[in-house]
Amino acid sequence: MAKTIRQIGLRLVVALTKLCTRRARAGWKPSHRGVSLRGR
Amino acid sequence: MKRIVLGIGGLLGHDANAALMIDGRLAASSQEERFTRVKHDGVFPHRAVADCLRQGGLDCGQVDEVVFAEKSFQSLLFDLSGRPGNAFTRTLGRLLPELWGGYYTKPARALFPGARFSYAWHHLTHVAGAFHTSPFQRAAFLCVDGKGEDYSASGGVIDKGELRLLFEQPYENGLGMFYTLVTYYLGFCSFGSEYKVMGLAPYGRPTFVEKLGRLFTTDGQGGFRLRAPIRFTEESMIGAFPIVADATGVPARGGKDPLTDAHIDIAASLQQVFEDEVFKMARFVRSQTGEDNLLFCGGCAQNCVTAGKLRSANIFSDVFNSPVGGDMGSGFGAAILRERELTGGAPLKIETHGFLLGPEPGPVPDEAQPWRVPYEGELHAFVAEQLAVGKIVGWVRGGMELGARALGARSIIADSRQPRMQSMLNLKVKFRESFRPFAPAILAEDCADWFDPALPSDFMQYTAGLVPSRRNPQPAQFASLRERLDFPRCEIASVVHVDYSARLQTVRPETHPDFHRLITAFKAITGVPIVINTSFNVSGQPIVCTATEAWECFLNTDIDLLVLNDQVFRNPFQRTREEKLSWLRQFAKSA
Repeated sequence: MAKTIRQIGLRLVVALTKLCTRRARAGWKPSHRGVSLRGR
Repeated sequence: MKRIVLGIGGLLGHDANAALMIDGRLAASSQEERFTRVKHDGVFPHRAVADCLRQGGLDCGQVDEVVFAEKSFQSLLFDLSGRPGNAFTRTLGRLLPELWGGYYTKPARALFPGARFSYAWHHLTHVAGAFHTSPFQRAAFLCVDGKGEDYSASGGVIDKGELRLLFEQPYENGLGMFYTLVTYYLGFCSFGSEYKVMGLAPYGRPTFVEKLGRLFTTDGQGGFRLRAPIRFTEESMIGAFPIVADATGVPARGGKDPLTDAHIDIAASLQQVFEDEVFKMARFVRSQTGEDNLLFCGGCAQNCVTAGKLRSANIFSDVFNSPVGGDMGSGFGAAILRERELTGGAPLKIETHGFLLGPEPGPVPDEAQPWRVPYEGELHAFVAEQLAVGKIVGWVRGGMELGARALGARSIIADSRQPRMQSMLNLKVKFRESFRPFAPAILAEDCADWFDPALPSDFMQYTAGLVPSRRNPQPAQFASLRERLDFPRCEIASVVHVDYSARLQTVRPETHPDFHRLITAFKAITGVPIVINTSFNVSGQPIVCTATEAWECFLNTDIDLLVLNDQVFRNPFQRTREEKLSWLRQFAKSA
């Protein structure tokens, strides 16, 4: 059950990610990711 | 109360490892493959963790902080969505519960229920590991890797208090992937075989540079991407062989097919493209940061030929290549990052003990005792005498090395002056391709007499050229690869490549005192301060860790003598060829 919920959650998260991110062109990009160790 | 930080690397599915820091002091670091005996093993590093805790005299309950060497959720999202992350994905990474932290989290939680968990950007673990083992107070960094979460290269600046990630190249199909793809296409299909292609390249001519250029787009700053959307999986790369074959006009080579001139020229061309692109990247980082010093790190920095050329290229005043460039040092780097965060930029000088951070060999197996060789006087002098008369020696003493290179704790050592020693070691001891070169271990104080530039390379991070006065001129053409290999191009031909380059280990008394003593004794007899140093294993086998593993490897190879701590043993040479081949087969998959 927990596994199924996680699978559904993951699909939702991936769908959201596709909505909220963009493809990037090749080459160097300015980095905004920071250096924090917080978060997965 | 002590501050205990445990770094865990290998979440990308290979080279699992652990590192332990106690109050800012590096106490131990080990690789899981050394215990499971599976090369590049990527399982959760239970045994490496246990070894670190044992060396630190701790138990699991005493660990305060566990830091992973990758943001595994960001990596997962990239793999599933095909999109590089942004502020949204990073927010998700902070909000979601621990179970989204990747497949290492569950076993780690079970082991360390009271610890705090954190996750480091993968490239920054490489950067931190390089910086805190470098001589620099401040430096730019260039990390070129196969894959770290959703990006393949990054650049920025680091000093003792500040770490700024300035630029990055998104997606995984960058320069590292390109090298790996062509490595597989050339028939070297086991993980981590890129160094074989690097060793093959000097035999060829870079006549395929233009054709390989059809596979990728690039710009003047090293912005690099493969045209085809290839992923970092074996299936994806094998599926892309026809694309490479179309570009080069040469079919993919099967692992057992003979190497043709075209394959060798493709290897030379690949190395040429790689060097050109790294140089472009380095110039870009120089122009953006204005820094004088460069840290070259990440998996691609293990290409010591490129590192050696980068150091001599005058793009930066000084270049430092990470001693443990691959992911086997990622836990080490992650622990340093966490330590920096916890101490708020307080000075942190890591004593690496020559990267001899693994376990001791343990007791000598009973079955070895009948073959013990009594010797009078000092061990190093006795072994040096044996080396000087052409004996091949297995040398197993003290804590073992972290990283892919043997540095004189789990090494096979031989006389660098012996003609044909390269072929003999390759075919009868290491059981690997005959073209593969060996590294010279040279007394640091004598380096300038033999190699140029005579700069430190204490962990085999760079190549250098043999000084011209020691080179024998070679004919313009050879009838075969074998003839070219065996040509006496200099006094120490076994450790000098056909282009007169060598991957040096400069040995210092302060870094590797035991090994320095041995080479000094060898020099006293022969006048030559150089021995062959290769890892104590056969093709596909992780470097031996314990005395028992060393003894087993010894019996199945043509090594003459084995040194286990202070005892010397001779090889009974009792195993038949069939028995040896049968023993070797267990490593064939990783060879």
